[in-house]
Amino acid sequence: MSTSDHTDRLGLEAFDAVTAPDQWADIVRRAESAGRPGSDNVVSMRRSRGWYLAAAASFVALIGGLVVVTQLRDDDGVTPIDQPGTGVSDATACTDESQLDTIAELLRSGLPAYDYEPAVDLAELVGRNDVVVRAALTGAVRADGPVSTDLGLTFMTLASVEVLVGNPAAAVDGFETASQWADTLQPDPLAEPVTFDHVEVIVFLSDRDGVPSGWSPDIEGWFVACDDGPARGVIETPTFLDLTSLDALETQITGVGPDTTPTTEPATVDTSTPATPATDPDDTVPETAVTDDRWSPTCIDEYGTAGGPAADSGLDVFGPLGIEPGLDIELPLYRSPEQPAPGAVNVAVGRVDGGVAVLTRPAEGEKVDAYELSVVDDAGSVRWRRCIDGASAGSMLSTTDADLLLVAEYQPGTPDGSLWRLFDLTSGRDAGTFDRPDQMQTVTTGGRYALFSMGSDQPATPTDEMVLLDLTTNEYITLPYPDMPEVPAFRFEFEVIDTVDDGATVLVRVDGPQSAVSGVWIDDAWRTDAATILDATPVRAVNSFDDAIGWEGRNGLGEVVWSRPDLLDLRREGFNSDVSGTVTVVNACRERDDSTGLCDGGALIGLDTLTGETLWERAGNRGVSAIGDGFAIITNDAGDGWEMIDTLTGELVDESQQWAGIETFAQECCGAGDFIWVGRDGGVVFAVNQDHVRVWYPEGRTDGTVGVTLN
Amino acid sequence: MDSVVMQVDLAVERVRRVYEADHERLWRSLFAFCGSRPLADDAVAEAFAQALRRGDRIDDVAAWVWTSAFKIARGELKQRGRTTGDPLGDQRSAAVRDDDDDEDIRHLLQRLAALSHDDRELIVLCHVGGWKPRELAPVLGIPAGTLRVRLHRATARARELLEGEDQS
Repeated sequence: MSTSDHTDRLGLEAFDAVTAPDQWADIVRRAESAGRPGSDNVVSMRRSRGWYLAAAASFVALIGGLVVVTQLRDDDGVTPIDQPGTGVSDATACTDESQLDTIAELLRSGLPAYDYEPAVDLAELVGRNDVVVRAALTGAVRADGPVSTDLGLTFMTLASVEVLVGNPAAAVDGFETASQWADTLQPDPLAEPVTFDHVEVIVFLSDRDGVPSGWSPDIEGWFVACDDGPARGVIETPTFLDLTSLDALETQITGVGPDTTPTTEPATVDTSTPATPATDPDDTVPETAVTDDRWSPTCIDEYGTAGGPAADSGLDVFGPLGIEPGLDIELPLYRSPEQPAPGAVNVAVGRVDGGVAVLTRPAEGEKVDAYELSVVDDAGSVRWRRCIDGASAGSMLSTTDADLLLVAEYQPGTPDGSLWRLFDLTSGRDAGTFDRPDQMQTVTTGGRYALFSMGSDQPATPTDEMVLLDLTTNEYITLPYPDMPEVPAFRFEFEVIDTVDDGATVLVRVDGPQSAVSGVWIDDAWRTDAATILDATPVRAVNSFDDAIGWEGRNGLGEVVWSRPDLLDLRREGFNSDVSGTVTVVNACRERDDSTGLCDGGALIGLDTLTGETLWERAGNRGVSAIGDGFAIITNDAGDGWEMIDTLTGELVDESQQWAGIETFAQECCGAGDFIWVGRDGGVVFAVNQDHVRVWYPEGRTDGTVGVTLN
Repeated sequence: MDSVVMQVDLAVERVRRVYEADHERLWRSLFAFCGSRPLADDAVAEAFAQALRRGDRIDDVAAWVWTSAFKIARGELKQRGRTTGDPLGDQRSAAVRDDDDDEDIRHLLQRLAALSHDDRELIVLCHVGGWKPRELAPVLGIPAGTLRVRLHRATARARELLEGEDQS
């Protein structure tokens, strides 16, 4: 890891002057007290070649994309793949094919041992790299890498670089691989710079901050040739490539490059290639049920049968709830070798037709390569359950009127990417994949539309495109990024509005929700005229976070239409504001303690969103756990329970709409928010409390609570 | 027997090397995150101690220690948050600050505490700990693009809190 080069550190560089205590003795004592080795005596800083190369191997994992180091050997830790034989120094001029092997050996000399995930096809190989270039290889030398890594690198220099795939403006004049010359009996053939003549390369490169040039090659994506002769893979050679010449390879590569023409014609998510052949939808094929005893209870694949419940529009609108939850789902726990006692999980919950989808993943974080996915019917039966191994889960996209459920799978070892895995909502069987790596998604309220956009720190190019997916039809369109070539893509903030009758409208802002709308994607084009922006963008209440300004109402152009300087920011975690019909409910500070900067008197306030007028005010520091459609669940005056209010009046809607116990709809903070939170999807409320999800349905829709265990 | 000793030796040395390279930045990051020296002390020491105990079972010691230390700190904050009885999870009661911190640091800690947990973690990792998004992404197990977007938004919110008052 290198130190941040951010020049603007928000004033936090003041922490650089804070003295950190020397803790090594305490650390060793703690380690020893657990009966494991660790003492100052053994920390002799004795160097060994084995350790050094093991560290180099770890570095490969950092810079080598899909490289995963697993093959540590004996006392050396890592053994170089090959060492160049004699005659290497004569191989710098490439005049015929016979010299290619020697050149390839030289270039890969000192590379640590590695393991890797082979690309299935050329499209995957292209897709997992940032650029593919063709160039003349002019030199190579082995030298120390960044000081922070204490490792060696082989530096390759290029000339006449042509970008075949990726940003045509990408600055590539060389690349590096981790390497270390381990043979003490032979001189390092790359200790001094070696120059090449008539050596051409095609290299698949990924952008890496950890190497000086910023580029490192894919383990399967580095090919050399002598001028027009046959090409040779330097490290690994995929079988699907045409290596009769670099021209042939270039033709093959450019043939699968991304379509540079954005289209607004809907395409359909490909469900023809299930991600897991073992879950062949053909019922005549015996099922291979996965059993995973890392989960408690043990997870066993169960598949649903045809004919799921129909959509129920009675659950679409939020309002008074049953006095008890309709479902009480006990979540599975997860155990790992390091933590044999089953532990809590992170959970995502969403509505689907006739039930709820529940995604559970180990609380160890998204790097743990397992998750469970289930659909529980509203009546309390488990429709299906899947035990996924080998991938970790990120987001889950679900909605009603849909037949697929999407889960973002994080692929271990990949630099950026997630792959969306599709599940059939009726059966739980794999239904294909939707490959949108390195993509952020923005989802409409209700979850019908999902917009996938990239978080690149580079401006979007004309060939970059976003994808707008309709989860109810599985159709998607591609659309270009807004035409703002000076703005890095990650600064775009998109909002997708479901217009119900006219599809989706996409708004884009630059640098956060307080800024004006920069463009509106409507009728297949980005529009930037004021009339369109104003028409598409509702006025909204904005917290300025500045006590001199307070809260403001702003239109789509960023113009202030009302101002409430008397409403200050709470400066605390928790509910800030949300919209419910024509009302914006804000948690504001009414009295600031100037000596501490903290709030001495908070209040929950209902504002007319269009005018900023106060419609009602409830004093006190309050939590809001669910809000929308004219109602909100807030903490009561005593702070020991919850009540549902009408957001037009701020008053309790009915005596029945009160719940004792702060834990009923508790939303935690400080990390506990991962395990204790409340969500709403239409008229259904999910209260997640560590090992349970309690599902609350609209009043009159349930008769008591049905307990469900996912086993 | 020699090889076993060597293995232990090397495992400890790996951790020691990370300690030498990362400890100060990690401790300062935890201090900024928690607002508490004792909590930062405990989280950092425990993470390194656990790394020592695990030895060769950890592939990337630095990544493991950073994520573990923050996980330990989050757990502690979680426990303290539960004891506040505040449904909003007021950060003031979660942090224990020391009198020997100078005014600037106290001011920054106070402002940082007003950030959401997720925002604060990203902000201190990148602006105190010195991580770059692309390097941090695989450590946290999230796509780099996602992390950049989260950091950008967190930075915008932090700027309002950390710099807003000074400008007004």
